[in-house]
Amino acid sequence: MDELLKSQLSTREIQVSIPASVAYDLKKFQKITETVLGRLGCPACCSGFDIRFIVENRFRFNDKLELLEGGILR
Amino acid sequence: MIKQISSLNELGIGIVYFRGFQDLLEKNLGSIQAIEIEPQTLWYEDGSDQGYRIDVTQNEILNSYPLPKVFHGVGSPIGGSVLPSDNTLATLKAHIKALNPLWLSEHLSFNSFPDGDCLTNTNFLLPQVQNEQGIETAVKAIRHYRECINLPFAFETGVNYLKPLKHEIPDGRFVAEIAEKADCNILLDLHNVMTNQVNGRQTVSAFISQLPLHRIMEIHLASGFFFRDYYLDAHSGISNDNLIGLAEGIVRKLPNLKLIVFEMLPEFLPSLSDGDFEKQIIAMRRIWDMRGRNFRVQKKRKNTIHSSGLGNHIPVKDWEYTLGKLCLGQPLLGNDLVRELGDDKGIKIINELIFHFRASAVVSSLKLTTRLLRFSLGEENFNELLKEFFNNSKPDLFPFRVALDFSDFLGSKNPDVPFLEDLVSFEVATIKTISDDRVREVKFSYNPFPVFRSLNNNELPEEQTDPVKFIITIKPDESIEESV
Repeated sequence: MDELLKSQLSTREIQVSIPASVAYDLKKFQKITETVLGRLGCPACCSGFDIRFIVENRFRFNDKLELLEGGILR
Repeated sequence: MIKQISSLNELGIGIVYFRGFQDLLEKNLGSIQAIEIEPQTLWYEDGSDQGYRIDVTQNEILNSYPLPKVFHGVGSPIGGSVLPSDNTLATLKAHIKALNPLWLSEHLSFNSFPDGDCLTNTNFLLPQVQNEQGIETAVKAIRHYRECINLPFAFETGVNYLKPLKHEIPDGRFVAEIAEKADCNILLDLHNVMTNQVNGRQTVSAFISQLPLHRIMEIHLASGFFFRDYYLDAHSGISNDNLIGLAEGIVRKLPNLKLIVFEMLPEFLPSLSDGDFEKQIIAMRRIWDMRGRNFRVQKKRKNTIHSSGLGNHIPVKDWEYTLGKLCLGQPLLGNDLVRELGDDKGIKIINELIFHFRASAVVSSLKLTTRLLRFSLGEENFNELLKEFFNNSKPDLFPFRVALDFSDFLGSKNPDVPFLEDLVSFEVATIKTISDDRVREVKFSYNPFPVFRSLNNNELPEEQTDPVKFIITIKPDESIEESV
């Protein structure tokens, strides 16, 4: 890279201003579609599996969100 | 003056509401007669230790639906010795004022226990000790709620993954004693009772036979799945035919049933078709129509609880501390109770479920950070990092604290992961701005947008070689019209 351009880039400062909920929700960078406060609320009434960790890891559920590993049945 | 059960209106059938259920609700407004709200799922911390904030946007959405509402608490159950805090009750009262629910229910379980000078939250509803002191503890908690909240109150029959303890009061009898002593209504969660039967506790029929049926004002229906030979109350889809059949038989005996509610978690919505939901609604309507048909006045039961054996002498605080510590996988000095509970395979199941609750809170509240860590360190190392964090931190009911604690933990570990430091700062700043409405600036020593894009696509971000500085200003949501 040209040394002049390099030095310009190193001093360049770009400022972007966005609302918190947009910043916190990746989908909103593309399209503002949903609220994010749900992620910060108390978990729901359930004595079962919080599947968000597994869903985030993607590979243990099929496309119907049925757990495939560990003898899980619907 | 709180209304008596007999004077409450019969509502019909309803569903539990979550963010993201708007489409489902709007499609089915004509098919249901009530909405159940779990208020704490719509609260978040304001970061000041002063209390909680209510998601007012959700209040507006809920108030736009022309249906009666009821509240079902998920944060401060009535089975334990720890009573709801003043902050919790103040927020609950404000939420009640905003949404005007017809009644309030909570769980017959506990989720926090005194631990030294502070309270430890378990991140999971745990069963209380089923002895006379356990009854008195629940009665005290119910009375406390009723003194503070001017609404009809019911407690929900809980799930218990433990095997029955020697000499404990049977499940149904325990519920009945609490309801009678506290003069309280019952929310019969039939899926919980069926779950307990499948896992080796009391049968549904024995449980029901011990209840004061005239006190049952609400029924919950749900679904679950098997995990390591245990059937879990997972709220993962529509109810199976067994549960529907049980409900059809039981509601005939209930003279004061006001509402039947279907519970399902939003994460499982994508797996539900319109036809599935319609099937559930039709079944619930059929069940509702059978209510009270075969009601017979029950004979008054004599008190037959005897105090003998281990189960009847375990102090509530010892039970809560021991079970709480075991379920969190924390070390304990050995005694009879530790040994008896420690041998129970149900503890290991609860250990795993709590791990998943805690891990879900971390990955949901710090999505970018945790994706970057997982892709950079690998799945196994990331899970080890989470376990180390859990072993060195306390669970918290609200993900706000979990996110802050995890960011502190990462600061102390300082893993060698490109982009991490600024990314953590960005996500933490965002959470804080959501909580306190203050504007924050986050500086990046790289262009964050390709990083965001890669992580959004579940990919490891590419290396950046060109030096560049970015500053992102995060504003509170009120200024959303000024966005991007």
